[in-house]
Amino acid sequence: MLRAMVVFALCLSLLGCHRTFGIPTDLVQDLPALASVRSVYIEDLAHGEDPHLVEGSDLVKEKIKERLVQSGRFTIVDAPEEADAALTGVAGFQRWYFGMESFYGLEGSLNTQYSGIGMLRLLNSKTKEPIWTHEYETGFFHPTQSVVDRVADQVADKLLSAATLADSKNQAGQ
Amino acid sequence: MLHFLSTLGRRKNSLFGLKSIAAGLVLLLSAASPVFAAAPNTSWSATGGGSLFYTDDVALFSATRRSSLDGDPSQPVLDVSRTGIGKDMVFEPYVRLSRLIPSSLGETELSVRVRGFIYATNPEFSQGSIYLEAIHGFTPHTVLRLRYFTAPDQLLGLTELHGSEDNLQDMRVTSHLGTVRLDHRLSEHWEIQLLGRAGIRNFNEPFVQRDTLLWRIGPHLVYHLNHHARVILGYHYERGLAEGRHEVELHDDASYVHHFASIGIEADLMEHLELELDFHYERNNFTSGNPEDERFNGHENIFLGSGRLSYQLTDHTALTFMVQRSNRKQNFHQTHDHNTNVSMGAVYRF
Repeated sequence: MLRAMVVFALCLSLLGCHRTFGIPTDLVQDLPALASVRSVYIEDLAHGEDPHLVEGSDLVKEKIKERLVQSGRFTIVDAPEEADAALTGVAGFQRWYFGMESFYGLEGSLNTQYSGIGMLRLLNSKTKEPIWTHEYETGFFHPTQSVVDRVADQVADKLLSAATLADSKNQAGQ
Repeated sequence: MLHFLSTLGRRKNSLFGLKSIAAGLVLLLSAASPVFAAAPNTSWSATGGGSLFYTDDVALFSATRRSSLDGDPSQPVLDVSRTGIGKDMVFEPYVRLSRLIPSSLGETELSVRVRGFIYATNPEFSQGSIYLEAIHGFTPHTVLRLRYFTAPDQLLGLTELHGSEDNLQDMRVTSHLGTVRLDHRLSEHWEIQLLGRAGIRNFNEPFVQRDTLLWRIGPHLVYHLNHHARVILGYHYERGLAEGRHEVELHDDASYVHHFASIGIEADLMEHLELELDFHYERNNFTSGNPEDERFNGHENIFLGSGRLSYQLTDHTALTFMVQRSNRKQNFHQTHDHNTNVSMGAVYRF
């Protein structure tokens, strides 16, 4: 029992560790600056990571784009110089495996689980200063929600929510 | 007194096994922790978990658990007449530590897994096993997998020595197995896997005549219905050559030819809910040429079915539920032997 508790304690000590992909982790929500952002350029969200470590970045990017366009609050542009702000960072998912007898890794098998990855920053196109930042929050999966949808929806929901707040404060100040 | 000494000896062995398991787990976790903390961009990852099993046969539990295409289906067990020791609850902890190494020659993943079986009421059966693996992807369609597996000092149970019911001794085995598997995707739907395995099993002193050299080959054919379902067919042929074949006077030649056939279905029922169903048939033909050997003209049939559900609860947590049922019959014993294992477990990715 003592040994099991030691192992359990060591396992818990790993819970606080997570990857940052070299992206600053400071939380920023500059609402006045966000209120003036209308056009956004979305960079490659693989962030140069090995495709086995961060998968599905293109899918997440497309989903974020789709959600932001649907909202009508932002327009998505194809060139950074046309944008008020650029969404940068890393987003996607990572596979992980469990089980004992089967071989896993690389191609893996259906016996695969997914964890979301998301560390994003909305940068002012001219000053490169951060306007808004987001870090993916792990949590319970909806049984029918894919990991791509979960990562993208979280980014879109939080960005649109912050934009709505920024707009309402901006209107109240005028 | 003799019984007490025997029990003490078994407890010592069990403690040794538990210490090995705990030490392995602690070492792996300790190794993983600073890597994560100091260099977050390295490609190390660690997964740990545990399952709690109910088993109705202590002596057959580990053999049933390891019976699969990539497992160790020829793991020795007691003769059918000596199994049926009883029920137990078994805790199965495991840790997997892996590292991905990309290179110009493709992707390579190295991993270590440590697993334990910790028995609640029969601790002398507790045991550990270690898997060292290297997986290299030459292309996305061709992957080579190498594995070294060892299960040291595994207690099988009390066994007759020299065929005498009055002389029962603990039988223990240490297995060292090397496996190579080449996977090649032939088309969108078809994949072929070629497996080869060789190894040795060393028994404890009173049973050294059962030391076995073994080799195995076999193909697997995988049909991918789509990204969410696949069917796996496999056949293995294994030859085991026991030392007892050279010592005719012991009447204990455990050499065998082993046939293993398997069919399995894996399917994603929902986005995060997966089902696996497997059915295996094993046939052991004992090859002793000594008419006085109990196994002369002997064979064994084993049928095994298993089902597993896994549900990913969060980004880092999955829950599992598993049922296994095996049926063994040797033609030189009149009894059938059944083993049912049921488990619930949780896995966490660090």
